Amino acid sequence: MIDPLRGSRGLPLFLFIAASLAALPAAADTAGKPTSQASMRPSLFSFSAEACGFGGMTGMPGRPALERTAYSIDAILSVSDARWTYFALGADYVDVNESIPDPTLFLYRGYGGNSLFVEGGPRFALAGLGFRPLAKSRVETLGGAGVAATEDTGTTLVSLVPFLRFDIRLVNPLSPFWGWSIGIPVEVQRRATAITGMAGLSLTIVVRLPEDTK
Amino acid sequence: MKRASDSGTEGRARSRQKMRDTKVMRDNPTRRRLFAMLLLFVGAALLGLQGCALPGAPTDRYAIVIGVANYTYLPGDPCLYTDNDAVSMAETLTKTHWLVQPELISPYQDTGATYDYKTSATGSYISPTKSAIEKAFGDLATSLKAQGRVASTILVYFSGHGYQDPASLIGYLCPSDTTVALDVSSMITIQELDSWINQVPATNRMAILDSCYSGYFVAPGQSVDAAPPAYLPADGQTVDGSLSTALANASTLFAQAISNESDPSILTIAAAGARESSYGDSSFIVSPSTDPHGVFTWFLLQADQNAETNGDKLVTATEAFAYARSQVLAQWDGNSNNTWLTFLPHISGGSGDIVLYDNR
Repeated sequence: MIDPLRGSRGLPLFLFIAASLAALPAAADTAGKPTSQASMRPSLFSFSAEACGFGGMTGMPGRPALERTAYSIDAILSVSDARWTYFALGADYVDVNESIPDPTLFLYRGYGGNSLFVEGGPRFALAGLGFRPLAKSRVETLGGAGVAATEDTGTTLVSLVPFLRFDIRLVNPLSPFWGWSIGIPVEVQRRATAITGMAGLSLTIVVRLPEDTK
Repeated sequence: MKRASDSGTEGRARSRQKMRDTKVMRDNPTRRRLFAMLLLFVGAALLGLQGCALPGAPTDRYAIVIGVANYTYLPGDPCLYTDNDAVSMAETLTKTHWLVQPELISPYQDTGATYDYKTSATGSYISPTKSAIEKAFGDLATSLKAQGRVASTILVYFSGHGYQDPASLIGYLCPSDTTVALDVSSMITIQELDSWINQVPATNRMAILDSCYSGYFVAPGQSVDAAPPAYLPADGQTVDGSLSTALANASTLFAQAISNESDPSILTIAAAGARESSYGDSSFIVSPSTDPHGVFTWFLLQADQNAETNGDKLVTATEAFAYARSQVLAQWDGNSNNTWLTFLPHISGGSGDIVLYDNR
C-alpha cells in the first residue's frame, strides 16, 4: 500500500491541534509567576521547532490553478537581537498533497522531501501584547529563500524545488528559556513552469540557548 | 469579633480583587484576539479541507486499447497473455467511464491457445497492425475535429512485445505485423506514437505500455528517476535514495527547476525500464485467476479497487502506478524464483497527473 502519511490531508490539522494543546497549558501554568525582566532580553541564538499547515494553489501555463494543501515540520536555528533576525537557518520535511482535479480530471501531483532555507528580517517589540507578567511579545518579519529535494509521491522521480518564503510571527516568551510563537508563513515554489503559492499557520516552540540567560 | 470581622472583610476584599484579576486575565483582549485567531485558522483549515468540491465525471475520455499476442510473421514467438491484458483493461476502463474505441487485439487463440483466454464483450477485434493502430488514432482525431470538439483525455494502452536495438539502445513497440527480420521500420517508434497521440484534439494525454524496454518511452521531464533502467538487485542495480540522487544531479536538477520547460505532453506509464524485460505470469502466482495476465497489468488492474487513498473514489495514474509498482516489488521481484527476472515500472515526470479510474 502507499504510505498513508504521504497522502493524508488530516495530518497537518492533527499537528496544529497537537502543537496547540502542547503550548497552551504551558502558557497557563506560567501565567502569574513573576519572571525577571532582565533575563528576557532577546536571544542571540535560539532554536525553534515548528509545525506548519498550508493551503494554496498551483498553476502553470495552459492549465487551471488548482487548490492543494501541504504541511511541513521545521527545525530552525536563529541568530537575532532586539531589532533584527540576522539569519535563521532552517531544515524541514515538507509534504505537498496532490491538488483537487479540474473538470477534465487533470490534477497536480503530490510531492515531498527535505529542504534547506535561510531567512532574515526585522523584529518589533509590542508593548502590552505580552502574557503578563512576562516580557513583551515580539513580531518577527522574515523573508528568505530555500531549495527542497523532493520525490513525487509514490514514484522514484526526484526534483529540486526552489522557493521563496515569508513569515510573520508573534513570539511569546514564557520563561528565559523558552517560548512559543504563532505565525503566518507564505511560500512560493517553482517546479519548471508550475508555480505554487501557499499560505498557512505555523506553531513554534522556541528554545533560547544559555547565552540568553547571562 | 471585630478582628474576625475585619479579617473577613479583608478576605472578601482579597477574594474580590483576585476575581477582578482573574477577570482581567480572562478579558485580556490580547489573549482573546490570539485565541480567536487560532480558532479562525483552525476553522479555515477545516473548511479548506472539506470544501473542495470535486467536478463531475467527464463524458469524453477516449481510450485506444491494443493487445498483441499473436505475431503474423513471428509464429514461434507469441507474446502470451497480452490479449487478456487488453480485454481486461478495456473492461476496467469502460467501467470507469472511458469510451473504449474498437479493440485492437490479436488473440493468441487464433493459433491455438495453451491457456484460458478472455473474449471481449463485443467479440470482435481489429488486428493491431502498425497501419491499423495509426488509423485508429487518425479516425478518432478526424471524428473529434469534424464535431469541433476537444476530448478531455486520450489514453492508449499497449500490451505486446517490445524491442531494443542492441547498438543504439533505442526502444520500439512491436505491432502484429512486425517482420521476421526485425526491421525497425515495421515497429512503432517513440516519435510515431507521440505524433499519433498528439494529433487527437484532447486536453490530457496518457499512454500505458506493458512491453519489454517500454521505459524508453518515458520522459523524465524536470526530474531524475532514481530507479535504474535495468533493476537487478542481484547485480547491484538498485534504486538510489532521493536525497543522494538530488545531490548527485544537483546542477542538472536546479537548471531544470528554473527552466521554462513544460511538462512532457504525454503522461506515460511503462511496465519496465528502458533496458529490461516485462513479464507475464505463467505460474499464476501473481494473477491467480483462470485468465493469466502480464504481471504489471495485473496489478494496474487491481489498482482500480486498491490504490485509492483519500476517499474520493478517484484513482489517479500516479496512485495506480504507485500501487502496481509496490506490488511488482513485493510479489514478483521479491520472489526468490525471480532473482534474475526483476523489473521495475517507470512513470514520466512533470507536475501534472490525470485520473485513471473514476469509480464515482
